[in-house]
Amino acid sequence: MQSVHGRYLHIDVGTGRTCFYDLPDHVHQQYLGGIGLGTWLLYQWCPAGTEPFDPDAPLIFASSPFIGTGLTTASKLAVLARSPQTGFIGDSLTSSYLAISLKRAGFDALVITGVCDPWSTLILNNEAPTVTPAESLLGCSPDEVSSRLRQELGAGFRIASIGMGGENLVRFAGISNDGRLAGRTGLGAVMGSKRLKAIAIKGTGRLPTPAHPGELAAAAKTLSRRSLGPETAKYRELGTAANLAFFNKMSVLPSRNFQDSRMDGLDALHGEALHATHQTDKNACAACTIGCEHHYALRNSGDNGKTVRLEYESLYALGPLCGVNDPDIVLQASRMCDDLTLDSISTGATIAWAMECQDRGVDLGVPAPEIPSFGDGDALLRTIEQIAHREGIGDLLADGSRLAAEQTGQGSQAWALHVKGLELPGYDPRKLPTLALGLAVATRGACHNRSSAYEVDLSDQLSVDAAIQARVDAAIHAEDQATILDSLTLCKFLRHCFDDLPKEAAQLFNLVSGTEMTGDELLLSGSRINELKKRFNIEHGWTADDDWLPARVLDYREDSLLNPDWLREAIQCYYAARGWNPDGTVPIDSGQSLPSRIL
Amino acid sequence: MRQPVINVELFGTPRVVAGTRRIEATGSHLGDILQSAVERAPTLRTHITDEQGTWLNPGYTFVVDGQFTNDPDTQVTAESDILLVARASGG
Repeated sequence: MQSVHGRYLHIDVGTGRTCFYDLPDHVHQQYLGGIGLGTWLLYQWCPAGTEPFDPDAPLIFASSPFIGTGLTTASKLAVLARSPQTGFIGDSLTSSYLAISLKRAGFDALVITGVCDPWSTLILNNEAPTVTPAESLLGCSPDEVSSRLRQELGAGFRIASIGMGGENLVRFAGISNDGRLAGRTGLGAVMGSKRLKAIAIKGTGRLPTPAHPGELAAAAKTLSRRSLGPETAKYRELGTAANLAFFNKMSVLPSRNFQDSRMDGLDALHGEALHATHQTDKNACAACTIGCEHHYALRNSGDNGKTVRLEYESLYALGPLCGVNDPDIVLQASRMCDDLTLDSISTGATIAWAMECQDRGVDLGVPAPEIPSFGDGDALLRTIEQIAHREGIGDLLADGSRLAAEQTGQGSQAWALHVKGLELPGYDPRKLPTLALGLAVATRGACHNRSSAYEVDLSDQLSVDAAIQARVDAAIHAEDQATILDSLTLCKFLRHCFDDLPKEAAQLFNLVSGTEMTGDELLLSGSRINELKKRFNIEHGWTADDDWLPARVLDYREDSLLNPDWLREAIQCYYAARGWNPDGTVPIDSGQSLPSRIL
Repeated sequence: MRQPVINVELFGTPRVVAGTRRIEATGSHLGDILQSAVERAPTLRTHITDEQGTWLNPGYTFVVDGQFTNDPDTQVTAESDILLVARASGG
């Protein structure tokens, strides 16, 4: 197959041993690249019984055939491991030049096992890996790490690193590169468990050539032009922060730990307001024409001139979810999450759980004044720091809301808002039933990026009283389509730039790879990848009880479209439509070919 | 017959471009409402309408009384709650 190297590199950072493994064409054809390829590798390298922090547990970086082809937004790297936050598949995408460096280094993916001693940096100068001590980098933010390593190694290196959150094994720590975070499911903690502070990659080799370079160049040009059309204007002009005011109006904005679905006094926090009062400039991810990354000024940090990128999810989780409406506090909190490499959704949601504990007088094993309260911005900032350092109450919260609530008891599980241990994003499922189903069954937990079904609810695609089967079909289609994008490594903001996404994406895949795949076959790949994720979860202890929503969003509320009976029936229909057993397990002969373990 | 006057609440780019949160528009169908809105705030036209200027471009949608709609023939009354917003596609 074209546009791939057909091999990946394994390195044991404890011993320094390396080995190249073949990646047969059929793997790329069936699992595409990115999240799909990473899922296949995780299935190979992380058998049942492997704990997330075991030395043998793999941390995987996977590229895709689209990287370096000129297709806009395609410079994304998938990062995977068994999640220390959920215990199931941990997969995250990050847009960065690191993706191009890795591919130019001469392999399609990197699998890291082992534990360094002492703390180290993995340096990959093309195919030649070295592991060097990095104790002097401990405590540094990703920006500082990048700056120091580039000074030391040369400007040609691209850097991924962890901050204090990863060093201290915060279960929702991410991995930073080029200012972007592979944020969800705790992959930074897995990197920290390997005592790996940073990975520096320099790739100077030629990229593998695509199958049809002339036609691909024309198609890439067309896609770039469409990426600048009205379908992406929202992201270019205001960014995702524009969601806040509208979601508040529609009462789908979770606030005060999902005790409400809207909040008064948010005017200064609206994306439209931040645009006027705080925005400084914009940026684009590597090889992206859209440029959705909006930067805002920090005013109360003492860091004159520093800015922060802010997405809707950080705005929601560090703002209304914690009852905070001061934009300077929210921006500072978001910057802290970036510097400490903490997933902002899980950070905000876990602190919101602690805030409700404070309201309810729950004993968290620390003096009551140390427990943050809703609306207390200073306490929010202090608690973020404590989480990253695992100090005081931060040690409890660093394990995420599920484990913190299990340890605390006193009924606090009732207000730990997570699915499979992953905290909920900023879309209140009570009025978004298709998304609710998607969140309940998603393999990585409550994630809007893996389900994407909110766009069914926030559109005229289905009526409010649509039949369950229609919602199930829409949720499956949204999930498979999201998986295609994550595996081809195209940005989801592009999806409305296609008239027929599976068909047109398959055409792009064919131009790149030289295969002849139809849109239906590409959708089948999405389904196959999702099924392999599910098989991975089952091997690692999944039971049907894990596919469920927090009780709070299922409790009766006059305006809610959800109830437990509806969700139960929807999940059964989802399993049936997937060809799975009624208990949610996957039959051997599901129709998807189960990959053999070849290691 | 006199057309009802209806408040259209703007979100995102329409709010920034028009420089206001609400526009008073007249009409009994959404198609009329859009034309009335862009007459009152002409800066909206290049951002939210299609090339013919007759309806919304694919980046935008109306919400009427909590229901998303892209049908210009949707009937509205003076009591309708009308929102104009970018289509949801991530974040």
